[in-house]
Amino acid sequence: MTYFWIDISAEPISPDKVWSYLAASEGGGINIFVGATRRLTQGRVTVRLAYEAHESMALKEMASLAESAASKWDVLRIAILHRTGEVSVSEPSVIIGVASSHRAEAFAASRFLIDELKISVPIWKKEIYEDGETQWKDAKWERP
Amino acid sequence: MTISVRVFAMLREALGASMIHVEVPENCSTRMLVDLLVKAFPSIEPVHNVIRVAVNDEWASWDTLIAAGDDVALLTPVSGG
Repeated sequence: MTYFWIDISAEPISPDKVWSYLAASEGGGINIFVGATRRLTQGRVTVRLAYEAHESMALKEMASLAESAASKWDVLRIAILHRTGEVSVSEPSVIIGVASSHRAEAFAASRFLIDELKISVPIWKKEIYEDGETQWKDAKWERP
Repeated sequence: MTISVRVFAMLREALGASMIHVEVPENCSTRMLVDLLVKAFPSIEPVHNVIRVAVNDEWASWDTLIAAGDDVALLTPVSGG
């Protein structure tokens, strides 16, 4: 039995709350990955990112990734939280958390979840630069 | 039939709307829909080749037929995380 916490939120997301959720599993290996807004990209200064999601589909894709991770690794709890709206430098845009009995599964499942999220979940980011210029990230489909 | 199509991010900005209503023939495939939209809205021509379609929250293939009442969405390459 694996517990999932899947959410897309226009409000700030909290690594502390993810920690509490995962710790309640009483597992011995807990891994939390936080993706935050980066200030410098190739010398250019970003002040914030704006995220937009196809929410109903994104939630479904995120749940499907969690199910897939739970079938590959012996894990107790999985959290996948993603922001929408504007996220300033240093603030979390995505949190992936996995609790398992031992660390290997927690690391492996977390890595899988963040890598797959970036490939398949319908969410988009726009860079808002220091000079006021904005740009949707120039992404490519990773799969045919 | 008339269908509603949701768009996001750069497509939403290029179209100036988050949902568009479009008249399509019966047995319209996702491929026909995208071609028809690009013809109707030249502002999305630059991203024509990268658009993918989701129907009812699932990735759709290019020969998926659209039915009245379907929730259709046009997606450009994702960049979450």
